[in-house]
Amino acid sequence: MRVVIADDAMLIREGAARLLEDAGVEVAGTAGDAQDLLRLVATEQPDVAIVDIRMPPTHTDEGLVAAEQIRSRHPGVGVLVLSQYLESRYATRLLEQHPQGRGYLLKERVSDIGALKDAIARIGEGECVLDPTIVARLIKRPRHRRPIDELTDREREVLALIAEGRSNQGISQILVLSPKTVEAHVGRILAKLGLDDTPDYHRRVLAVLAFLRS
Amino acid sequence: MGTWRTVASVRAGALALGVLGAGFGLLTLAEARSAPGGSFGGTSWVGAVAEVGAGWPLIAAGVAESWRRPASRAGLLLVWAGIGWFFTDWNNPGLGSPAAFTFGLIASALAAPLVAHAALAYPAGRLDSRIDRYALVFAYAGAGLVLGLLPALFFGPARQGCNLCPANLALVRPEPGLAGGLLRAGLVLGLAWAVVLVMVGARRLGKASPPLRRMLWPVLAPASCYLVLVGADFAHSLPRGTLGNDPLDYRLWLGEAALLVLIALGVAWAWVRDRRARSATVRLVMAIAKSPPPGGLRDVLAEMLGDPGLKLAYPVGEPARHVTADGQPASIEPGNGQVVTPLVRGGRTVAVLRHRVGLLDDPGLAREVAAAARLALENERLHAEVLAQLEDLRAAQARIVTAGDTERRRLERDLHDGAQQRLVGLSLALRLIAPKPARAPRSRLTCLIDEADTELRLAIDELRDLAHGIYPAVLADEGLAAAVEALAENSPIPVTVGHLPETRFPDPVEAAGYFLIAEASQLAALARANGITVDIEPEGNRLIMKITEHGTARPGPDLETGLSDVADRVGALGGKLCVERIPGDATTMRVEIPCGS
Repeated sequence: MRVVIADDAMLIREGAARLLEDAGVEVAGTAGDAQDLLRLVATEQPDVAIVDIRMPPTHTDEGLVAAEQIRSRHPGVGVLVLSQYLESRYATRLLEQHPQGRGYLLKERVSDIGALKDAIARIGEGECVLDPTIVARLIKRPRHRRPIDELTDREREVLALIAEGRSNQGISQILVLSPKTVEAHVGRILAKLGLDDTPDYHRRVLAVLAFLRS
Repeated sequence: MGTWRTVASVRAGALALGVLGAGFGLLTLAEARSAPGGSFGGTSWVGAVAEVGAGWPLIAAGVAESWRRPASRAGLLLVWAGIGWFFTDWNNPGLGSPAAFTFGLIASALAAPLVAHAALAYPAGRLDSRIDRYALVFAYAGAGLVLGLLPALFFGPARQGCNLCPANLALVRPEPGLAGGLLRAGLVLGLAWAVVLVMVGARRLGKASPPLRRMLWPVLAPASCYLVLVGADFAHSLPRGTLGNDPLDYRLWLGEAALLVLIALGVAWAWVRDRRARSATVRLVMAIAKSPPPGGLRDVLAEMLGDPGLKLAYPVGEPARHVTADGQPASIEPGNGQVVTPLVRGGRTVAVLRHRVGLLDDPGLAREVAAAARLALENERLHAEVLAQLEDLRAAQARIVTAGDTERRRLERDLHDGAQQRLVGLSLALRLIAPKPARAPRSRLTCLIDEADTELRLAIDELRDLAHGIYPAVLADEGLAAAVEALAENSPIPVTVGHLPETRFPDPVEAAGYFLIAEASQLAALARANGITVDIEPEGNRLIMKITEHGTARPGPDLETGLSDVADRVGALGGKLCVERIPGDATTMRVEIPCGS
């Protein structure tokens, strides 16, 4: 795995680089802003770029804009956006433009090397990744019409993992279930929520997200 | 219109000149009576009456005209015409004083151009066309130079056979032939300029608009007849070679005097007509201004004074600025062809009118309008003042809210980019110093580091919530719709989002809308409502928000009290908030916020 890191805070940039290298991930370079990042991606062609959402000059959504630019110039490069924002809106903006190989994690996950490495690996394989905290918040959100209430606890666990971008295989590994059981769960959940069961993994993630946000 | 000071000085000047002129008339009569043989006015009491009886009324009319229309020079010109009338009788060889005799030689023919000037410039005090100016220059030159100064330079009384005559002070060299020739030429020219002036007067009358013509003819008609008589006298004098005072001259002179009286009467007639029209205007203003609708006084005045573009503004505040009747700032810079007239009551400017030039030339009329409409003016002024103060307050409130929001956004950024980043960095640093789990089994140090890390994560979470509450970044970055969606994600009660425009609105509007919905959802949660529904819709240049609280049945005022802080935000933007209970356990709040144009 080769990654590049873009963050305007040196402490985070270099700290994350060291932590990743200690964990066996090759860090091909670091950048302090979006322009540096784009140059770095062009020269290094990493598997994944880890990008802070707020970077100079405006400190708003530079990371999301950079992700869009990376998609058009280097479609093979995955992007993991690290963000201070818990709102699902920013994540949806990132995933909706191009879910393949995109991830949105809260900033503090950067020091959780296990989660970070896992996310990078999944993004490298083309999956999409959404922070569990955001998903949990969406699932807990109070609603009037509550088909979610009809789900069993186990089903709700599975739903959260779907929303986090896990594949059936990933889910079966985490929950220690057989792939067949997971498939059955997924089918029931989608039926209960009134969503079409689609074999396309990315469309499934987006459909579940859209349902949870509505 | 000039200032009050220039008005007063114009009036004082005209009055002083008039008094001097009247005195000069008496002096003229005394001189004439001292040498009746060479005079018109000294011959009989009829002559005496004609002398002062023609000059004085003209002077009086001039002074009065200056008084009424200080902005116009017409009054002064009339005074000069009256004074000029007296010059005629100084052409008298019997006068004892050489100075008086010389003055008569030079100035005696100037009466006609002066009278023509006053008549042609009436009533504005200006000559309208270049032709009028050329004709008058021609007349002044003919009367003052060719009939006056030039022959006087060569007129030696003794050589001319006038043994009675006093000395000619202007004499350069006695040249009887040259002096006689110049006088003859002056008479011929005089005949010409008299005819030209009559024609120019007729042209002016013909070109005037009907209302102006009604005002002009009582002055221009007798002035033209007067010029005809002057021309006739020049023709009569031509065989003699000089101006004289034979019986025919005398009769023509009497006729001229009568016509000058008619000119003075013509000027006076305009006042009568004016006053009648004016009191009609003032009466109408009075009738309608008693109870005009708010802001309606301007329309009444515009209609009455016949100027649709008329602007009425009230001075308010310290330092004074001008506002319209509805309290909006008003510019009273006069445009092309416009002037500004203050309406003064009791020494205080209660209002200013910006109007067409010439509408309120007469300061008396402005005063009377101010008097007639005083109640309405005072009402409207007070109303405008209150509205202007309200507007000031609202603007100040809006500035305070905007400043507060700017500060909130700055705080939010500082928290995200400063404190939060540092905490994340710290958490990373902790991870870097922790021993690798593979190399060292869980030690006391690892436990401590894990604990510290947990604390750090909690701090980061709390900081995030704090920053979000201060000013959600999503509101600044993505707008009201996105912020409301985010709010719905995190609300303790269900928030149903109905219509939500994705367009952006001005920052203060979005902030007011957002904080209102946030506050309403919190209040609804506290009241254990089943949920709220939010609908946002732009309508014209306003943003309409409807927030419905379901499942509570509390009275509207309760909600309004709870929302007073955020309601102030709405008020600062000139918006409205009203709370309404709907039968069946729901309360609806309707908010309207103007979003500029």
